[in-house]
Amino acid sequence: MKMPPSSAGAAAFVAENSGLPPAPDEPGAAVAALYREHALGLIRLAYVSQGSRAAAEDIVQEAFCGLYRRWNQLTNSDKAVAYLRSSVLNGCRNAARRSQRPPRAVTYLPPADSAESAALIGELRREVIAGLRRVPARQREALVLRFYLDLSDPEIAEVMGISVNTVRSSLRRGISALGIALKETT
Amino acid sequence: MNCTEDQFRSILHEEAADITADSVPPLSLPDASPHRLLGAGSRRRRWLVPLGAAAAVTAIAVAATVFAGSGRAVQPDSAAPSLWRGVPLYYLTLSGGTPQQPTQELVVRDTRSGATLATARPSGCLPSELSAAADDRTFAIACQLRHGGRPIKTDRLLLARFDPATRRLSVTALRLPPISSYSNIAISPGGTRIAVMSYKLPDPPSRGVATLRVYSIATGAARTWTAANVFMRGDGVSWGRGSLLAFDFETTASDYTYSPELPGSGVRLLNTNAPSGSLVGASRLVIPTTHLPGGYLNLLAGQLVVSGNGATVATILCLQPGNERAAEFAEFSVATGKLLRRWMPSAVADQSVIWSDRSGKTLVVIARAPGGFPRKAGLGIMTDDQFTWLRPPAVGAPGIAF
Repeated sequence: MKMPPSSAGAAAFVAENSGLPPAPDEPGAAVAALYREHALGLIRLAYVSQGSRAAAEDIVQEAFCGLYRRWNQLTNSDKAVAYLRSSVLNGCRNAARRSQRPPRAVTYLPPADSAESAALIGELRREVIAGLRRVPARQREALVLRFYLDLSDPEIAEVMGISVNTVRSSLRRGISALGIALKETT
Repeated sequence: MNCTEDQFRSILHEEAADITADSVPPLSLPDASPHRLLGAGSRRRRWLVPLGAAAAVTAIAVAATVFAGSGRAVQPDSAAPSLWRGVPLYYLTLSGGTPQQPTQELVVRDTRSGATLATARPSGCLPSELSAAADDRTFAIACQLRHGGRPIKTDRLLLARFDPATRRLSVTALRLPPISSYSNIAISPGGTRIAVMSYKLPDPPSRGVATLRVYSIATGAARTWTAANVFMRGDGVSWGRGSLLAFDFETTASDYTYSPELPGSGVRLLNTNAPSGSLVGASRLVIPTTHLPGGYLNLLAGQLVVSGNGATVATILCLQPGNERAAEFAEFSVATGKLLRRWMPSAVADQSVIWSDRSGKTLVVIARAPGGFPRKAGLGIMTDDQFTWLRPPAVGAPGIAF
């Protein structure tokens, strides 16, 4: 997984790219070490995908708890980060389902920012993020993995557990959907 | 508003930067260790483990007997010899594509054993899409060009030939114009032509132009059919008998909602010997996507395969709108457009169709086991009621061509 060097979360993902630190024997310590390395990047991923900071933190906590519970079933500790990433994306999907707002029925609501924060956040950014929230979940996931994490089609396919062709289709639809959402917002 | 991809990328990073390192909450794990979470006192009752295992084996055996014949999964070793009849001996796939191994290689595998027979690494591009001719040793590859380490939206077309005698895979760049990365490719069964279906979105995105090009590999000559002012959902293409090409043409009034498809949507059949012109005018609708019983066609790219005799189309029937994982295999008649059968072996969950034999009764699919951790995923051969996993058992399925 790649992150641009300018991002504050780069360190976590660079660490991931360069391989995991040796896993301590104790599962709790191993999971805690992974948390120190990857929590920030994963919370950011969940936040960008899902939109709520609190929910993003919960989703990541839940993912690490799930990893801890299943630590003994992990045959290869190198798979831990891949498991966490998939868990986070699953968590985002479940959160979207729980919100009982299926993509097709979403009514556009501008984000409830204060006047001060609205002024701070660029108008374009606000519109784009609002548009992204309206894109169907799978397409949004593909967009975030491509444009936030800069993953290639095959990498996205592996993370999402779908074929490369489906990734391409989702990306294309997602870009189209985002464009339409932006057009309607303005 | 015109939001380019680079702007979108930087906006996502700005948004993510709202979360700072000092705002990450501490990890709160359950008090009990994973061992204890499995059940208090488990250490004291270890003698129960063999008994439990025996009971589980008995239960599985009983279940297997009860469900025998209804979608059971078998291993390649125990598969009947007839299972392999007509299935290509070799297939092309990709290795790598993971954060640990980003560089991707083309890999030729033996279908039965899963053994790697040959590898090749194209220079200057990242293989992303594969297609196989009928001889199981000629392959077309869309290879994504990179600029400054980042993928760009352009693919180069490559041709790969595998020689079983020398176990060499030779890859050559075709003298064809680069294609959009959002294209789907299919090499003809004879390995002489390549079909490229692409869908170009205007900027800002609105209704786009769907273009189907068929190139002669020998001469580079192309025929082009277009449909303007459409929203396209899928772009699957599959060669049928002779010069016939089936393609997925799902047009909707709006792309970002699961809106009903417009009349004329579905699987269309094009005679590629016809002159260039209108994509809709030159083709005929063979499987309309509307009014299907119990679901709708999910013709996501690559999930459309014409049988070798050109009589049927195997694809996926989606049972819940928007949920691509609630799906069944479906077989349609090309002649009448009727749904001939739909089925779902209990051994698999979500899936994609990759290859069909001449009769359409044997399929190669990408599948995932319905449960377990991590979920077993890989290639399988599927007949009416039997599903057989192929080796190697777990593949990320980044790209596979049969």
